[in-house]
Amino acid sequence: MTAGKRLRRRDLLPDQDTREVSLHYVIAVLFFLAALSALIALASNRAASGWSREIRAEVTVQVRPTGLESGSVAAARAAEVLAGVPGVKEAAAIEPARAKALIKPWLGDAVLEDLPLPNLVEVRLDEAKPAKAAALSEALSEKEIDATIDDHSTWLQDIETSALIIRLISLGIFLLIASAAAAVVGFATRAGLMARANMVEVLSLCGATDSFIAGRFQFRFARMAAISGLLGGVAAGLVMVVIKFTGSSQSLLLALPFSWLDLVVLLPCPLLAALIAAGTARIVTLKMLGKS
Amino acid sequence: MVVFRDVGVGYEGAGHTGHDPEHYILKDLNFTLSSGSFHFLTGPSGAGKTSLLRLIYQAQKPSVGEISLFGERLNPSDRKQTAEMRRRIGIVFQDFRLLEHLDVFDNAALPLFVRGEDPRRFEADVIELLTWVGLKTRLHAMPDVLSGGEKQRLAIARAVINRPTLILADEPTGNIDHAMGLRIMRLFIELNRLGATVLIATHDEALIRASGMPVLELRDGRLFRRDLTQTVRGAT
Repeated sequence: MTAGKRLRRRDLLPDQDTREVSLHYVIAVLFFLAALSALIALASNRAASGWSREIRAEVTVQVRPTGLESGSVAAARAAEVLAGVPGVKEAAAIEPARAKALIKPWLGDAVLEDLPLPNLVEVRLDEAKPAKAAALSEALSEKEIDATIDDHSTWLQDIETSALIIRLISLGIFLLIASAAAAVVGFATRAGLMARANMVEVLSLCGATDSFIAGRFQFRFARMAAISGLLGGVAAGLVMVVIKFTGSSQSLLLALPFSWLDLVVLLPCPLLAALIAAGTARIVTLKMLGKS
Repeated sequence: MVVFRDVGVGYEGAGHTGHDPEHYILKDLNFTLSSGSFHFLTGPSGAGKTSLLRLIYQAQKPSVGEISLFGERLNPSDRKQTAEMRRRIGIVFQDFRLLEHLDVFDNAALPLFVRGEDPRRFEADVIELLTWVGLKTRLHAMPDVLSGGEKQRLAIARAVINRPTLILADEPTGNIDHAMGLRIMRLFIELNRLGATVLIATHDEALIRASGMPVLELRDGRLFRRDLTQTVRGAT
């Protein structure tokens, strides 16, 4: 290699020292945490969407028998009426045995015998074009069936609020970690500038502009952060892969349903790390040189 | 080229702020170095020769007065102007100021690299200059293995590599033997013939005598033309 090419390849700063190895580690850990928080945000968002979708597609109707009609007959009639409403995929009365089985874990055998169970109809809606609660209510009224429709809107609101909170918390964590990474790079840039004050002065006396000098630090820290970001992203991806492949983590997968597609979110990690580091290094360098 | 008007420099010290003219180390500096001139700057140790050079290359701000360079009044807070001015100045420092992590070639080529020039285009020029100053066989040596004289020659090569219009040298022959000193002087004189303005701060009376160039002398903080006990106005 000729001398000129060697100079062209250099960022003009001395090779990295042990302090920068520690910095590599810190930035990699920060980006690991940031990437993990992004993956968890995606998975929890997916879980919340799944629950919302299921709840949206289901309606429970409680039927109150009138006249001489028994509860189970009234429920069966209501199911038949509801099945005919456009936007309903399926409607079926819940058998008393099944209702008992559903309640049993909470109330136990002893109480169940004397407990009057509600007459319920389980309605599955067409997800593409679900029937409105008002339409169901109208259909039942027309057949003089006394019933209350529960479209789970209270639950749905809670789930959607929870999903929003999780998204905001994840975004907050991500921003906090990114700002911590920027602060670390800023600190390292200041330390680097002070440690290389003589070199910076020589460059300046050779006619280097502040922008040129800032560019050297910018390039150095961007390259370092890109590598650290890559390592952090890969580590977060490996954690996800382990969770996906570990059989004992099924309950975790129900709460956080990771998808292979989520790995795509890790791709910009090195670029994002490089951008944060480059921006911070440039701002800090220009500020310090301006004060000198 | 270089114009000083009522320039004074003071340093902060015990009991004074540095703005008190009584404590100025350089005072009433009024002189002009015209384009293409060649001057020696001499004076006893501590007379302020290095400070005067630092004023010109803007490593130091004057406490009072006004300095113009290349027809422009210097504004120390305009860092862009400072960088542009410095690109036209070649500076040889008394303590060399080499970058220890760059080899001889890279140190010499630094001003060109800083100017964004293509290394493929300047490589031959750099090698030619390093050959001239006797460092051809040391192209890839690192500064820490160079002798004092070699470092001096490298510092000179770096100062003149971009063919500056103003050359400022602080004791450029202080660490080299007499023969090499004369060789380096020939280089400065040659650059001066090509149009560069040269100001060399030195103690080397033999060198001054041998060159026969005009001499500015600093005494008690004031600048005199040698053998004339008057403050210099319009040195050339």
